[in-house]
Amino acid sequence: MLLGPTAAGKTLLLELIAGFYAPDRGEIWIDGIEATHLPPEKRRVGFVYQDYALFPHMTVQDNVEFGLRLRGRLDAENRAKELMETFEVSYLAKRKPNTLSGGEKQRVAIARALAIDPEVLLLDEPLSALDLRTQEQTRAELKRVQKETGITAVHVTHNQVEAILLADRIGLMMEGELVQVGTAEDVFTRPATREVAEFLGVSKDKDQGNELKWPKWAGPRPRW
Amino acid sequence: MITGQKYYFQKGFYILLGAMGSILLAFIFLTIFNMMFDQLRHPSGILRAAKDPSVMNSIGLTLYASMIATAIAVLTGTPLAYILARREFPGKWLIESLVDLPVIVPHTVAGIALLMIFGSHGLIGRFSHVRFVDAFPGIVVAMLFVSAPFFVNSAREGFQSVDPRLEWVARSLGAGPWSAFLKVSLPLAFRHILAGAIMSWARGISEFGAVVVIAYYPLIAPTLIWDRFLTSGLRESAPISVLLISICMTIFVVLRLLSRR
Repeated sequence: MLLGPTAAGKTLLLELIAGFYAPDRGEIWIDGIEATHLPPEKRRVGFVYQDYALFPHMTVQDNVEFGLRLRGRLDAENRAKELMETFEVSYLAKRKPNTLSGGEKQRVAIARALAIDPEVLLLDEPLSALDLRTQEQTRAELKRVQKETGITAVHVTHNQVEAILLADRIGLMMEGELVQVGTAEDVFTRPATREVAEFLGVSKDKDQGNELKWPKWAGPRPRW
Repeated sequence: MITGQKYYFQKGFYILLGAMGSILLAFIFLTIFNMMFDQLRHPSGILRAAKDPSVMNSIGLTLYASMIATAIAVLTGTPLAYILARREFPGKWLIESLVDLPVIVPHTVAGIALLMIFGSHGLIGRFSHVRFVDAFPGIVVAMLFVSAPFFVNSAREGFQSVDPRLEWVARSLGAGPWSAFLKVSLPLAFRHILAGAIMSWARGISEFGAVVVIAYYPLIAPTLIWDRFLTSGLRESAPISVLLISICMTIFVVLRLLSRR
């Protein structure tokens, strides 16, 4: 989980991992393979954009099948149907993306990304364009997917609650730099710098207590 | 909330703009339809022209030559348009100006320039086994020269309207650059490409200046009309003109309707 304020470079980092941009320096390793100079199609990453970036000229089913067909999978249609069932979008199969709601688009985009059995799932603020109720459902969905498939997901967000609820580890990005990596507890109780503490809305000084606002819908607040 | 006063103020504003704009519309409309009504009142001239094989041949030749020119523009202009839409590079403005150059060059000048390249002593004409001067290929290159900018600019707009992230997502799903282009960018820009091809075809058909310099013969319709105008005046040239624009307008209305779908 990458957490950081707007314009911290979170999306760019995801796009670098996916190979949409080339890094000026440094290396990118995916599952033990150096991918720095691999084109995106060789990296086996699934990408879900904030606005989902579904192919507007294709039906939902064609969107989900896209990656499978490119791999020449003979079972493309069946596999796509399975995925659409898993994500409860089967009834949308013949529809075009512009007729879907935000939550529906979201589920289609995740199904499309997972269709290629990626090593890494890259999620760029997947919840931010959804209303609160849909956010809750989708959050549960994401948690389930990660548990069931065991897939590595890099999930970008500027929402602290989202980070606490979903993250195994949180990486904090400020102004283009990864300033701290740790569990939610680490990050929220022992922020590395004053800037991190300010962004998280917690005090650097532990005794002054944690000021993070915990919304009702997020359930019981974790106690550290 | 829109108050009544504001509404009337806006109404007056739009009425004024509309009145000014309709001067231009009336000018275009009257010019074209005055000629058509004039001829349609005495349709014998048009009928005579329609039965004249040299007239119909030249109209057919015009449509066909412009179609070939458009096909060349589509094949070579689409890749160029894609590069212009997607890449930034030093000197890009120069390439863009070069694409637009045929629009600002007077068409007789274009014709003379083409003659100097494709003529029997020209840079290309010298080595070419194909004859351009007073021949079909000459008509095609003249039409291509003047109509290419319309196609390239429209196709470029089309590609610009396609979110590059859609191509990236296609890549991450396993598409190479070619299949991302063919399966995502091209279909999404298709409407613009088609509109550009239609514009380019229309522009080719309407070209006179450049064609007449490099290939007076075989007579394309605009040259034939000019030829008849010089020898027999309006009596002969007006019916052919009406015939030509009627055919063209029918085709373009049909194409427009098809491309709207």
